[in-house]
Amino acid sequence: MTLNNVTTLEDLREYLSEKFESEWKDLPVEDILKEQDGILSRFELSSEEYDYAAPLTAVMEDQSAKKTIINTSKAKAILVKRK
Amino acid sequence: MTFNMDVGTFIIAIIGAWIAYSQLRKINDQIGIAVKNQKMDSLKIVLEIETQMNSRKLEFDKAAKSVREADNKDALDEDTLEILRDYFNATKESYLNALDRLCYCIEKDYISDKDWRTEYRNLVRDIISEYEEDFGEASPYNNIKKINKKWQQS
Repeated sequence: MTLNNVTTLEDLREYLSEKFESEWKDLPVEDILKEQDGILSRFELSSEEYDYAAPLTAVMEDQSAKKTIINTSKAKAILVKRK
Repeated sequence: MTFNMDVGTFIIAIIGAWIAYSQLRKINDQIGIAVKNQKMDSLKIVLEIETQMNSRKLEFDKAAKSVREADNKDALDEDTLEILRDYFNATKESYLNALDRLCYCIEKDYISDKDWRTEYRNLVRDIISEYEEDFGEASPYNNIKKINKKWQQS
């Protein structure tokens, strides 16, 4: 499949998946994110569509911050309760 | 005589064109180097901000851990509570300041929006959602709010 053949969101998702398997697999995560975003930015996508079409997105910072948010939320709850 | 002048003019024109081409090539190379340097500078800014954010996030995590441990050991008397609350709030502020600085750089186009949107969109949204009391009308973290609004709309 080529980018010119992409007409639906599902096509785009499949296209990116093929790209990942055949070309990007061994690239550093940052480079993969940039390659993906370079393609996804050519389309007008909502954030949900963007996330759907880019299932391979390795959001490392995001995952790491989620743990921080869980940890600090529990601490915040203790501080609020003991106020 | 006319033929000699025409040939001379032609040669001069060729030399002139060659000089112009050579100068344009040099300018083009210089622009290429400048663009490359600018990209490197942008990358340095981002790495610096990310390093800052990471160290402040770790400190924020440590503050939360201290609160949870003290609570778990029933060691939260009034004085300890005040110390830990101040520590927690200070590290939270420090972390949010670093995130706000990153958002400022994106908002002002010092670094490319599309390069960082994927990595930080959910983080920014979750931070605002979890600490909504810090993102009210009088919030000092305007850049985080602006970037979140922009990213959630597009």
